[in-house]
Amino acid sequence: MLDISQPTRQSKLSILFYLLKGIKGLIAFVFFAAFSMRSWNSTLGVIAVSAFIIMVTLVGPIVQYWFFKFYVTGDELIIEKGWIFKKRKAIPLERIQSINITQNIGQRLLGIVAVEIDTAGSKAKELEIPALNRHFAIQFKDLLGLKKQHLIIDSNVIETADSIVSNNDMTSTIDSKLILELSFIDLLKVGITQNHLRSGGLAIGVIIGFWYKIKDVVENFFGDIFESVDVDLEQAVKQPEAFGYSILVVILSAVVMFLIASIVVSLLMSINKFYDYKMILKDDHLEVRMGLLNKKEIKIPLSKIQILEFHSNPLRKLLNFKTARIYQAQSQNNIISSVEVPACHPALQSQLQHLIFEESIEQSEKELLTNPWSHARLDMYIASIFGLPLAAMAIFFQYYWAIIIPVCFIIAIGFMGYQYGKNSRVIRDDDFVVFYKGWLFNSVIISPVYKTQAIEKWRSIFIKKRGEAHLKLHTAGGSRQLKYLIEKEINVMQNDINNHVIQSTKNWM
Amino acid sequence: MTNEQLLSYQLPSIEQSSFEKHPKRFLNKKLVAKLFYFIPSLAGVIIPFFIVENHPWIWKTTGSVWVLLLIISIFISYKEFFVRGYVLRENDITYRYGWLFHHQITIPFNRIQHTEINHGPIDRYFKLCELDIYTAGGSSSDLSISGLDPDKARFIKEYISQRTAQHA
Repeated sequence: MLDISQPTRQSKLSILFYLLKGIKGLIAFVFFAAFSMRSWNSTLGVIAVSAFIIMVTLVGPIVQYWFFKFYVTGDELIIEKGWIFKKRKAIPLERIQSINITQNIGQRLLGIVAVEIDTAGSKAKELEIPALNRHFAIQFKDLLGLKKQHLIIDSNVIETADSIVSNNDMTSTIDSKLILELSFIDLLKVGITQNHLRSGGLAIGVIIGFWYKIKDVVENFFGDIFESVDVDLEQAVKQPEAFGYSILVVILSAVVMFLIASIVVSLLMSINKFYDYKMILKDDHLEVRMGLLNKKEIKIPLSKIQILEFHSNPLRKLLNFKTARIYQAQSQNNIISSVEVPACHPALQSQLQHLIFEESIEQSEKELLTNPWSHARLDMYIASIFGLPLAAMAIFFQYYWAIIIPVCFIIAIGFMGYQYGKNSRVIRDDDFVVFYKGWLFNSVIISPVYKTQAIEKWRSIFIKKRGEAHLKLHTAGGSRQLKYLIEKEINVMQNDINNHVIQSTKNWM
Repeated sequence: MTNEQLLSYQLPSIEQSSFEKHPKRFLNKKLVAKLFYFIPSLAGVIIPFFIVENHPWIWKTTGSVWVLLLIISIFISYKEFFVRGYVLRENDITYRYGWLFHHQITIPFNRIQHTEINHGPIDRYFKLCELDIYTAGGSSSDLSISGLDPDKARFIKEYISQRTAQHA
C-alpha cells in the first residue's frame, strides 16, 4: 500500500515535463525576438538574455520539482509548492468531490499523468499534481478515495472497525459494469454526424488565420502559381458573361471543398476526442475514459449529477442515436463539469436516465407550450438587421431582382423560428422538469425538480401585453430557459417547483 | 406540536403576497449615481466644442445624443424603482426587478449557500446597503438586493441564516 504521510515529490520526469512546458512558452518569445531584434547585436545583451532563458528553462523546472510536495496528514491532503512565493494548500479529504486522471501530449510522451482534485468551489487547475507515474497515480487516487470513505464512516460511528474493513473489501470487489464502449465504426458514425458547419467554420478560421503562412510555403515550393490564378474580380462583376460558367464551377467546387474539409475536420476531431471511449459504472460513480492525444479519465459521483441532456441533429436522427451530456454540480471555471456521451441509442438513453436519476419520466402532469409566432417574430427581427441593409443596397444600385434574396432569407429564418417554437415545450411530472427544445437540432434537457436552486421568470416590456414571459431554471449544473410561455402558466409552475423544493428533504448534492 | 402534511399545491403562491418596496432614498441614490456615471462622457461634448470650431454640428449632435441618453436612462431608473420589491416568506425569498427587462426570481432557503452585506461610498451617504445571496453553481442564480435599509438588511440576513441553518 502506498504511504504518503511523508512529503512526497512527483516523478522525476516532471522536470522534463516542466521543461517542455517552459519551451512551449518560450516559442512565442523567440518568435518575437527573432522578428523585432534583428538589428540588436550587443554581445552583452545576448549573453544576458540567453542566461536568463537558460535560468528559466533549466533551473526553473528543477526548482519547481524540488519544492512541489504533497502528503496526507490527518484528514487533509497538503500540497506545497513554490520557492520564492511559497504556497501551501490544505484540502480536507471529505471535501474532495472527484479525482480525475488526465494526460496531454507532453505528459503522454513522458509516460506520466496528471491528477486533478476537484472540490466544489475551487479552480481545478489549482489543485493539480501535474506529473506522476500512472501506477502511482492510480494508487494515489484509490488511497484518497479510501481515506475519504473512512472519514465518512467514522463520522457515522455506528460501524465497528471490522465492518469498515469488510466495507472496504466490498467497495473494492464491487463489480464494475461496463455501460458504453465505442468501437471504431461507432467513432466513424459519431464523426460523420457531427455538426459539420461548425467544423467547417473552424477549418475556414484556421485557413484564414494561417493564409499568408500557407501562401508563403506554397510559393516557396511551387513559385508564383497564385499569380496566374489571380482573377480580376472587377472584370468578373462587370462582364459576367465573359467568364461563362467558369464562375459557377468555381463556386460549386468551393462548396464541395468546404464540405469535404469540414467532414474531415469533424472526423479527425471526434476520433481524437472519443478514441477508446469507455464508460463504467463503479459503485456509486461513473468513470469515463477517452482521448487519443489528450487522454482523459473522469470520475463523476452519481449524486452530483444535476442535468442530463440529449442532443440530436438530422444526421443523428437517421442513425437513430443522440449525444448525451451529463452536467455535474460545478465548481467555478471547472471545464470537466460536463461529460459527453456520444452514440447514445434509445436503450442506452433510458438506461442512463434510470441510472442517474433512478426514476423514469412518467406521463407529464403539466405542460407549458411556447408561442411559435413570438419565436418567429424575434428571429425575423434579428435576421432583418442583416437583411434590410442588403435590400437597401439592392434598391440603391437598382438591382431590383436582388431584393428577393434578403426577403427569402428573412422568411426562411422566420420559418425556422416558428418550427423551433412549435417543437419546444416544458414538461413537469412528479420528479422531473423536462425541456424539449428545438426542431432540426433538438435537445431534451432533464433535471430533477428537487435539484433546482432557484427559479426565475423574466420578460421584456414588449411582451408584457401579450401575457408572455420566459422561464429560467437554475441548478448547480447551470441554468436552462425557454422563452415565450404564457405568464399565468409560468406562475403556477414557478410556485409548484418552488414548493416542491421547499418540502424536499433529499440531498441535491 | 402539529405536524400536518402539506401538499405542494396547498402552499400559498407568490402572486398572493404583497411585495415590500425599497425606501424612497434609494431612488435618489440611483438618480445621483446615474448622473455620476454620465459625467465622464460629457467630455465627448466639451472637447469638440472647444477644438472643432468649423463644424459646430459635431458638438451639437454629440450634445443632444448625450442629453437624450441621460433622459432615457434616468427615465428607466425612475420607472424601475416602482417595480422593485421583495417578499420574504417562511421558506423562500422572492425578488423582482427591472422595468424594460423584468425579472422575478425565487430562492428557497434550503438552497442558499451564504449571504453577504455590501455597501459602497454612495450607498453609505444615502444610508443604504446591498444584500447578496449566493446559491450553489454558477453565478447566474445569485441574487443581489440593492438599496436596502441597513437595519432591514441585517434583519433579513439574520433571518435567512437562521432558516438555512435549520436545513443544513
